[in-house]
Amino acid sequence: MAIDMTQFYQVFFEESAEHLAAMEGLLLNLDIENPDSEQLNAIFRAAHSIKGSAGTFGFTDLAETTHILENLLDRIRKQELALRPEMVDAFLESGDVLRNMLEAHQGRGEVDPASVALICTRLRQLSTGEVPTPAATTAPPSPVVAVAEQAKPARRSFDIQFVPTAVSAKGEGIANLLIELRSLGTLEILSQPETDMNNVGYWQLRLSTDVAQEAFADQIDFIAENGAWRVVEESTGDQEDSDFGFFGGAPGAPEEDPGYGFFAPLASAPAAEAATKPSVGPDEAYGFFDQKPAHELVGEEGEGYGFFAPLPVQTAAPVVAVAEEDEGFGFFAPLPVAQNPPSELSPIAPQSAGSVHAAEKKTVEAPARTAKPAGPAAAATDSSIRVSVEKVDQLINLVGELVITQAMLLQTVERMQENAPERLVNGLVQLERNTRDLQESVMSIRMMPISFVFSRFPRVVRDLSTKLGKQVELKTMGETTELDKGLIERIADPLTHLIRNSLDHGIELPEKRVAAGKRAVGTITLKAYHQGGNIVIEVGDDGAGLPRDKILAKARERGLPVSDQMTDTEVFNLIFEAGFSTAEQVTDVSGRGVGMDVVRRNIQAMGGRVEIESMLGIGTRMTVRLPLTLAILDGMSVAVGDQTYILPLSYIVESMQPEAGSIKTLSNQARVMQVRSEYLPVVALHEVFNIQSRCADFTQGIMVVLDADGTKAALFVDALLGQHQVVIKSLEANYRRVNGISGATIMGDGHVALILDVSVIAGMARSNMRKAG
Amino acid sequence: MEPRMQAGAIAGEDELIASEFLTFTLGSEEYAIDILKVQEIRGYEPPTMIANAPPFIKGVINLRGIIVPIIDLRIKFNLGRVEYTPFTVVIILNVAGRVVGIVVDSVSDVVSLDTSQIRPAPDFSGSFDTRYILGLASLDSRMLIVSDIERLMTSADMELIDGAVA
Repeated sequence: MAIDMTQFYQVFFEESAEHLAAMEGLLLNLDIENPDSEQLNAIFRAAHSIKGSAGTFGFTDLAETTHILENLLDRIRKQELALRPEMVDAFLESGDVLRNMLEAHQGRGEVDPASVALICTRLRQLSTGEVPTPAATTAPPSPVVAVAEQAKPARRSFDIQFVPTAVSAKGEGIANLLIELRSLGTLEILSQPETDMNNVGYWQLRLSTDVAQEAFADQIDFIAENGAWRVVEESTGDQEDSDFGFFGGAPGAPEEDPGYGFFAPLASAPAAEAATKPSVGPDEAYGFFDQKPAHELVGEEGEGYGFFAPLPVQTAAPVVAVAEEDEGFGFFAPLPVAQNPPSELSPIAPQSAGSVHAAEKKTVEAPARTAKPAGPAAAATDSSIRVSVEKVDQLINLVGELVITQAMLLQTVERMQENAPERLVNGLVQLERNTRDLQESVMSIRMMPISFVFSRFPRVVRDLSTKLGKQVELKTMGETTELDKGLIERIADPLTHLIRNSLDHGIELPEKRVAAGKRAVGTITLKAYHQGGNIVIEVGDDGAGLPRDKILAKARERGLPVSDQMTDTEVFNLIFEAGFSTAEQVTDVSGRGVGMDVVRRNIQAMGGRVEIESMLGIGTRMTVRLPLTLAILDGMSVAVGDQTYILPLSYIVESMQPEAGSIKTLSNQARVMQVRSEYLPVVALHEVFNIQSRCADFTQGIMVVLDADGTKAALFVDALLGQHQVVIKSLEANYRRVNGISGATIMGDGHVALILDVSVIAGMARSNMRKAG
Repeated sequence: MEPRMQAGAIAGEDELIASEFLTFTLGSEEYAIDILKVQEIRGYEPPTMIANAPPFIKGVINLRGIIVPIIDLRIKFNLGRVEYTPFTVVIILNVAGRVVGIVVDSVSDVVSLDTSQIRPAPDFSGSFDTRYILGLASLDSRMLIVSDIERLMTSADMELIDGAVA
């Protein structure tokens, strides 16, 4: 009976977070005057999916809030209400509240009940504010209410089914519930668990009462296992039809979405969950339903499926059929009742619903029709699978090995020259092509478009600019640029910080801007593109620019070693020092001086770097350069003596053969080389690594100009060998850190080549210069 | 380096002594190491040099995608002639979660030793610190130096691990 639900929680959290993000993105893009119905539908679907899964997993607070949100969305979608800006605001806020709830469920942070109540009230107001008489409209906002009104004159009969939790079953819970229900009307116990089962098991009651189901549904919910209950209102009098009727929703959460409206959350929740959670493979899902008798399953994760089993076929069939059409998934397939082809729905539905109520019948058919177009869309969005990152990484490693092996084979054959059988050579060429394709495809699994990060910024900008009283427009470019998933996750925070910084410090207040002859609306530009083996992300603003004098003054105040002769780059880099802030006042946005140093540290930890360009009064541009992935590097192989080293291509500016006399010494110790107008410190790799160079003097070798975090240096090597994409291997796994080496890789011939740590090498050049004075 | 027999206490180390040992020679000396620490034995191939590493660290090799450092124990302990012939052997060890290769003159055989055959090593000063010697075992007329290869490889002496304690 105990299936560990927690294993699914993580998936639920991830999924819901994704849905929330999608919803937010869509909301921000929504044209309020003329909303696109596709977008509205997508927003609705996102909200609905969250509600569905939240209900299944028993996160009732989430389910309830989403439900209210969904109600409003649904009415807008159906054009019963016009979209207004304050609605978008309310939606965004409720998204935040939901996110808080999610986080709280994950044990991070707390939910402020007041804000939840507030947003719920606001959504309700927006939803009901303009509706004259709900019952009169063809599609009432809340069918349950409508039905209640319609059914009022008659005494109503409810079919109540539930599975109590072990705890409540042992205590007085069941007895109390029965007493409670008896007080409302006539209660008939249709089925109850065997006496030796201690009340744990499947209960079915029939209650005949004149109160609405909301009056007692709460109690049932309290007693029952998570979501393992439902109340079906039967039309009074006609017993034949009572099996199929109106399946009421959860208390306070009546279903009114036409796509799902006619079955209880039980049906829709697993449906939504199944459709949106592909990683819970059908195999697993079938597995545990098949092995256990249905009545044991009831109340568990799969309660939806178990639940239908004991019911008469007439009841289950329409539900299942509608569910099937709706989401187009095969979860219900194993149940015999689901074998009814959807086409059978039409005869059954009108026939059984006919006597219930004309209005209801109309609605029964409506969902089936309206749900149909949603089918393919849902299928399209769900055609992905969730795989753990470790599995992907393992795959990448294995493919890396394969590539190396393949290269070794190819080299062996090349060494055989004429003696190699032609078919072998051809086969190997084919293999090379295939492995390369394979490697590319495998690597692309980890690649994600940067829009995953960018999509959160419109919101950040929107909220912050309102708060700060600034008018800001966010422009994004290159959202489709792909980079490694690991980097995507880690770049989000630093980028958010840079944007907040631009907004707070960069963009001026509208009056100031107008006074300076600029447009009142400031612009923040987010741009991503590939450059060499790097991805470059630029955060630019047309704001005030960095005040060089202020930064220098502040640096002096803090006792940092600065001078007026420092270049702009050096001055601007000071803002990355810990605790450095030039903001006159500390706002809750920024100004505390924490952040920029963290930004730089985070980016450096990813193997990237940040550069600042700024012009006073014109704007600032922060450029973040990141390697495409953490595992692969574009490198230039260089030879020094008999050794081969790899230089990361991203650091190489240019390379040249030095002319005699272009290298000069300083105090007869440090060497510099003049490259155009600059004097660059020279690092001779063979000296640093104590190897015998093949070159007698500098003119025989090659100077590679490196740029590491703004520090330039000329590295002397014997020769450039070629450009490779190399898989970074850790040297420290079995050895220790080596100064000047950032890692190792395996070359095509199976030999190990070491990857140079350019920052350290450029640093060596610098310290050499210092020594030389 | 003929050790004088002395009574040295190696109490508490009995449990460290396994029953099967791989023996190898370094110059004229024969060493025995716990066979469970040995991953594989392979021929010597020129490794990739690591800059500024001590001379006994020959460099790193690619062992099926893993970067493995190679240590020449003959250089480390000043034993025998350091030659690299087609018969030079590298023992790939798996110690402390790391993979390390050691160059030895030759691998002899696998022997079974029980605690009673292993005598405590005398205290002596030599390049091979007694800390790394579990004891001495005599087998026929051979003397085996039973060494604690894991302790040796993880020691600061070997400069294999960042911040290893002596």
